Amino acid sequence: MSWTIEQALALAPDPASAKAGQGLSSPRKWQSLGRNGNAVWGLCQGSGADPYQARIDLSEPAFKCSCPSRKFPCKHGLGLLLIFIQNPQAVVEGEPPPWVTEWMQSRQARAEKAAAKAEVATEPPADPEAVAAAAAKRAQKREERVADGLAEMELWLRDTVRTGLASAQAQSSSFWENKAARLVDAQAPGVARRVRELATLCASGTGWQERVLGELARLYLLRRAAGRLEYLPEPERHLVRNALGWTTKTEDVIQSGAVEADWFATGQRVEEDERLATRRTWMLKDDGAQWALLLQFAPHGQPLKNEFPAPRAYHGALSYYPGSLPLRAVPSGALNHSPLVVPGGESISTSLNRYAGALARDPWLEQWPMLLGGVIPCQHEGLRWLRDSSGDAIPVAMKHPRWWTLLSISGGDPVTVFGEWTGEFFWPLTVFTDQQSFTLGNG
Amino acid sequence: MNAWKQLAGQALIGTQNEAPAKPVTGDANWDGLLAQCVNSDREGSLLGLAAALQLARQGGYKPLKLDGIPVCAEHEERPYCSEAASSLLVRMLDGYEAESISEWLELCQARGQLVRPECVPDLLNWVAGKTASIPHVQAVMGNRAQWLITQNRDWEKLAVSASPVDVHFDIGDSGERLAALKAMRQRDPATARIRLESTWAKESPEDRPALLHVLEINLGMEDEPFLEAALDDKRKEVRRTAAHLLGELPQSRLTLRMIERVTPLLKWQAGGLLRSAKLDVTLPEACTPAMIRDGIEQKSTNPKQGQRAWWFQQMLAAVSPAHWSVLWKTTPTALLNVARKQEEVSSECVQGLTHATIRFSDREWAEALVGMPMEKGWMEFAISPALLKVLSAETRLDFFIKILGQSSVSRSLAIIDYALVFTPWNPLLARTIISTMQKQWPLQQDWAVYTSWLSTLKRVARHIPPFTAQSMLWPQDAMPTLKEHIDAFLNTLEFRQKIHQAFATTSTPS
Repeated sequence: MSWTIEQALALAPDPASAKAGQGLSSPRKWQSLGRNGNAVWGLCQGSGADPYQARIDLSEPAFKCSCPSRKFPCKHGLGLLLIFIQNPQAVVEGEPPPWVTEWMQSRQARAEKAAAKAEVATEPPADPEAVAAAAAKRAQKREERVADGLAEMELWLRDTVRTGLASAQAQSSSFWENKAARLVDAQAPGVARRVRELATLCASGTGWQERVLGELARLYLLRRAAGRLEYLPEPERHLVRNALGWTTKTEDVIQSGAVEADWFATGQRVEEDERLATRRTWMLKDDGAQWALLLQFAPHGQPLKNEFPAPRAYHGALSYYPGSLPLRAVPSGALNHSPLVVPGGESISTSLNRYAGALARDPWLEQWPMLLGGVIPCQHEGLRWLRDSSGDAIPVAMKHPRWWTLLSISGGDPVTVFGEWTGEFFWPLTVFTDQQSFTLGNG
Repeated sequence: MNAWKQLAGQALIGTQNEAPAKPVTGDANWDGLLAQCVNSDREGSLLGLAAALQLARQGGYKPLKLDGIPVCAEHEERPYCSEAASSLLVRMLDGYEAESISEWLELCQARGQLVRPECVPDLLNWVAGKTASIPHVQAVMGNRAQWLITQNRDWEKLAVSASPVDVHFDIGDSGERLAALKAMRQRDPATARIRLESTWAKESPEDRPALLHVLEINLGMEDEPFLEAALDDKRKEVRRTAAHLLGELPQSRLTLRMIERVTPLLKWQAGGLLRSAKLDVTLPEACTPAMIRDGIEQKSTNPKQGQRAWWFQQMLAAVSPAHWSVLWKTTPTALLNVARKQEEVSSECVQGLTHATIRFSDREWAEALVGMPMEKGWMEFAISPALLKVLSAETRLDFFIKILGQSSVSRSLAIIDYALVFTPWNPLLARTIISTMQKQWPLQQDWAVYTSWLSTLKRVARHIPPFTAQSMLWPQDAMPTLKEHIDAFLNTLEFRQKIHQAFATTSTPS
């Protein structure tokens, strides 16, 4: 495995940790440093009496340190990784001390236990009928709550268009927040999240009424679809339930069959609200047409591990969640790094056609991945655009923080750009030139 | 899509007043489908129509046609810096060891290399509020950065402008006119003065001092008549500026008048076999209007100093010191030794000569001054960065090494502060400074010395040649807070070493 400094720094939970980690990236700060094929370790004197024991399992990488910091990875872990990258000769090959071997063994044991547990779970429980009955009762209860919540939502949706969007815009953001909270109580978190977004859309400037109406219409569509669930085919039923906020167990997904291939992680985006941080990692199959979306979550304020840094190629099997549009997926086993082959992009019109196809299968689709080849970023009449060789151009979101970086990297020459399309704006995430790739990350 | 906009308009005012109409898109099939959404349920009809139209709008998104191919940046003539150098810059722009950005820029410029495109926007944003650094950033920006700057109004001021200078002097605001005049003066001193003379009568009293001060650039005897006239200006700052500039011209009428005034006040007796040389000073009787016109201040800022001694000191400062050593056929050192022992006004003599040395940038005199034996109080009034600037770099380094060897601990911090103004240091001076810093260890009990020691250490870290201090030994038993500062010092040094190493390796062609 080879890491770059940038990738190591990207693991830092916050900028302060990144800075502190760099401060410890000099061998001088360490009393001892060692490594073997699987792990790196070191002793670092902190303010305590005993030096801190920092260790890294290189397979993930996973970190562990005896310091009291609640950051993860802590500055010692980051510093150690940075030394390993920058100054490998300072890290002596050798036998790991007991505090490293014990940790590695306990990790191993935990992994085996988890695997064993997964197997046990497939066995029938002690009293299958009672357990199944209880589960069925809970499920029934939730179905009722969701139905009630959606019925209430339909009432205020109708109210809103009856009295007009102008009066809805005048409401404070707590107006939408309260409605979202009712939907959380009704156990429909997927809908609640969309409703919360309405407050932002109301304040989104010129064209806000179109954006709000569009979202109200999608909610109405969801409400109607949810009311007709039993008439829908299986994949569509999954889609609607997923949009409402039902989750599918990862084990069930993995069992549903996997696609083994080379996958190119083209880009990532992290979005955060007060509750949750979500990382989307987009993977393009080696056929250049099939996309997969890997999601990672962390409660607000807690570190969001980056398991699949991008841009980078992987090999392994991904299993898709059920639904009419196969997009979200989980790895069914380990994903191994594969030699980096920069994929070619597609024209804007081809990508828009793919988007239309996806939208036909999932009308609630919020972001669609596009890998655009030979596009030139440019400004036209005060807006920002990506223009391909045919002259087609799509707008880039004005609030994108790295627009100038993208423009500078291109210099007016065609580049390959990966990003998310919302149906209205493009959000660039990665840019590929002939020689290099750059993440236009949002942290 | 008009049908969609129309529907959004309806939604804005609400369905309570008006039922949604069947939309007309011009496509019969589509209109037929949409018509099915409309029934007596006004709200349901509107939301259903909105869902259908919204999906159609997104699914059928038509990209804009942009016919013209955007203008691209010109090819770079200079190579980009290495990736290693670039990644260090990225880290500094992120806030880590950010104070070394200037050094990075200097090295990049010295190698004739360019900032990589991906760093350009962050660097431009970084420099936007730092006027002093703008030329250094401009020096490492290539065609692509220039191309980028023209597209963002926030960066307009960072563009390397060709020469809109003359225009600005006629129409700009005060700051722009001043900058234009300076640039003009650099290129063509005579034209600049003639332009200033042509507008001088109309210049406001507020603008005049700064404008006149521009003549300091490439000052010459051609400027003398204009400056002499300015001695009669209404505004004191203008008169003072004119007197100051005329004082820098050895042949100016003002300088000649000063020599005429001072000469009768000084009587030099050359030394012989049995007697040492002697300097008799007669202090001026009065401060005449002619003296005031030539820039002599009536009142001293030092209340302990006599008025007449103060006038004398200023007069002496206005005459080139070489005038005396030539006139009396003696060396600066010999003359200084006599002046120091002068009974009544030795301090005024030495200070006047020192200021004259600085004003006339007389290197020989400056060497004599810093070569004087160090006595109590000498540093405070004789040695200043302005005087040290007159020395050759080599003499200056020797001076610092010598004086650090002789100075008391408390004074050496002040000397290191002076040395920080004059970089680069040679390895010997670097080592001397470090060992001086190390000797000061025990003083950490004294809070005031300790804090100034720390602030000096911080600045030494940024200015010391990065490869000279590697082998320094710091006490291991230092208290933890101090250890932190030394760690920070070594960190800065290591980071700077990385920067130098990154520029020592070969660059990648653009």
